[in-house]
Amino acid sequence: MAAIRREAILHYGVPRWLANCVNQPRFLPLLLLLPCLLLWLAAWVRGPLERYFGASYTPNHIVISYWSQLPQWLLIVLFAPFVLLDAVVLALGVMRFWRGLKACDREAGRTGGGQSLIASIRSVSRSIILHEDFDRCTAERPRMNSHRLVLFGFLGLLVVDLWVLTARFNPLLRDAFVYPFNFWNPWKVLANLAGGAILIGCARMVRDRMPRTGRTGTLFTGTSFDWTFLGLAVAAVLSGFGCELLHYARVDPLRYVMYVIHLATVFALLVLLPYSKFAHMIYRATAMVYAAHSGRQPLGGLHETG
Amino acid sequence: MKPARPPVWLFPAIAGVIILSPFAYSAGRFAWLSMFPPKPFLQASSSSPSQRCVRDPGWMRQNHRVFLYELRDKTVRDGIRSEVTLSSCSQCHKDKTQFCDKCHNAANLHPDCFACHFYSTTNRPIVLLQGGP
Repeated sequence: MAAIRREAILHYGVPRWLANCVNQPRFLPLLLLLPCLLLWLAAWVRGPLERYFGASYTPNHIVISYWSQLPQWLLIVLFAPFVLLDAVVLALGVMRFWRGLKACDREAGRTGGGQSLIASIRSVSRSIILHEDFDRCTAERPRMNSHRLVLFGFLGLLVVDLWVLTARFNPLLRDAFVYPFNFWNPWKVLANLAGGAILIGCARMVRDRMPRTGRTGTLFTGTSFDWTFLGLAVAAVLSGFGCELLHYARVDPLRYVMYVIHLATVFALLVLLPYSKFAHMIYRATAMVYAAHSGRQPLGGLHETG
Repeated sequence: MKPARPPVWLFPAIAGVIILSPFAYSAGRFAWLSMFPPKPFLQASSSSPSQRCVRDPGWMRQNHRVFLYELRDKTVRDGIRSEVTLSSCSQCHKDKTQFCDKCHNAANLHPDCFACHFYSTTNRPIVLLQGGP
């Protein structure tokens, strides 16, 4: 299952050479160096850009940037084009994947018989939230909680990020001060709990993926495809907690270094989303929706594990 | 007998409550503040009506950090000394605990201005390490 998933992501990632690079460990230092260089370049052009547009750095009274060298507007300008590009690449990949699934069914002579698209999306969303497929698979059930911790952890962080990113347009906030959060602010508490959930989930996944010998005597070591994603997720969360601790301790030059590391890992995690294991949340969901929509039945005895 | 497994909806339900609770907090806070607007808690200026802040007080409330940084840069980097200093603030706002600390503490901010600067209320710069009287 993991091998099929990896091949599907590599196959549908555009451009394919980038998908291949992302999943080779020897290119990993380069992939982390690239965002560091981009961030350095962004900090370097900040001054000239502000002079050109006739503005000086003024902290927004709702969100005060963590580091004045990398203010919020600069990070949004830097990240937004890549996130949009991600969305385009994923949309193209999903469309090709969907067409591929349809062509396969057509060749096999299977036609229709499933739910409508909206009903399929609804039932699959329910299934993903409840982890029903994971729950049915008795062999992989111990991994279900790790997966749930990571999934809901990322959801929690997404919600907090969106709250801060949209603070200026949020009618509930108006002139309220938003960021940096107080430690006991419910949004900060959610971010810390979500980070902790990802960390615990990833630690359990690392434990499950440690090299082991299977029943048939085969040695399972996992692939770089799995380890890269797991490593980046852990690095992003640990550097995030590092930033928080160094910020509270006011360790001044070091907290900015940690911030750059955090942004670089988040950049690698998000911008390389369509080419890394992270993309399985889109492709797997697409496959499930297609199965419900086309009326495909799961293969006897072979329950997939999400 | 094996203990019964918790229902499959329990974990997502707990996660959902945790993820959605900050929204409830923010919406509740918004509704509360709309009904009972907060009273200003900053210490009122003790200056006479003829004396005004060097900038619009509303602007200063949000941007005093930028203002002070600009003053610092002008003084330290360009050598241009201004008559406005932290001591000027203290002429009207005497009590630092009410004027600076109350807001900073509420927002969990710990500016390091006063690691070096003294919030003088006498309008006389305090000179340290002068080498005796």
